[in-house]
Amino acid sequence: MKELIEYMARAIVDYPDQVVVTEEMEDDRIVFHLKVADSDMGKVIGKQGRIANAMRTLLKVAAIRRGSRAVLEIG
Amino acid sequence: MKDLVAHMAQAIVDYPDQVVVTEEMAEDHIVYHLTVADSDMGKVIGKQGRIANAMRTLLKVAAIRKGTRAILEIGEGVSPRGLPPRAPTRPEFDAGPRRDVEADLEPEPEPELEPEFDAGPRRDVEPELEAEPEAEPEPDLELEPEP
Repeated sequence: MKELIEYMARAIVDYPDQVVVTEEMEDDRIVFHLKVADSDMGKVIGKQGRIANAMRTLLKVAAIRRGSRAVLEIG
Repeated sequence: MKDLVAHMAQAIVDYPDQVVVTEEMAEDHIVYHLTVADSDMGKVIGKQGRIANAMRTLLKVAAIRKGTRAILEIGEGVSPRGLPPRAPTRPEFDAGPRRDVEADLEPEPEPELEPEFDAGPRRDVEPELEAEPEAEPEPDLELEPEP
């Protein structure tokens, strides 16, 4: 799932090299932290969070498929 | 971008081996056809097309970044709604370098977030937005008794 987030983020930012995803277990869910270049923050969030929510939607499905739950935090 | 579509689809289907993405150049945009196992069709489309639209959103941004436009079709060349392939929606689009990627997206209304899966108790999706604690009123209003 980490790879999925990295892939999605790298596809839409200007500085793919600066995309960093870390994961952290928290109780029954995995929290993914996505960090990108400052100038790319707007791109991964999108207007009204649309891009962020699209990524979260896909991450949620991917997590459920693995019998887990996942949260995506940006920044 | 083909890889992006394949990656997204493979992450959510039961049969990643059967994910096939083909691309086709149209006049001013690229059409990606995504086919998956029959039993996975529902997964890549999602309730009310939510998953499909999430993939389209990301694909659209990735395409704009590359100065092109892309359309995602799922199934045998027919969009999941049974409509003919979507016509380009923004013929006025200037494929030059644009920095305001998110401003390029049409302001479609965000669909209501219904609990599509039994996702359990609602999570704080963006805990980074820490609400400032409410300012407590200063408790210095105690009046000194008059002498």
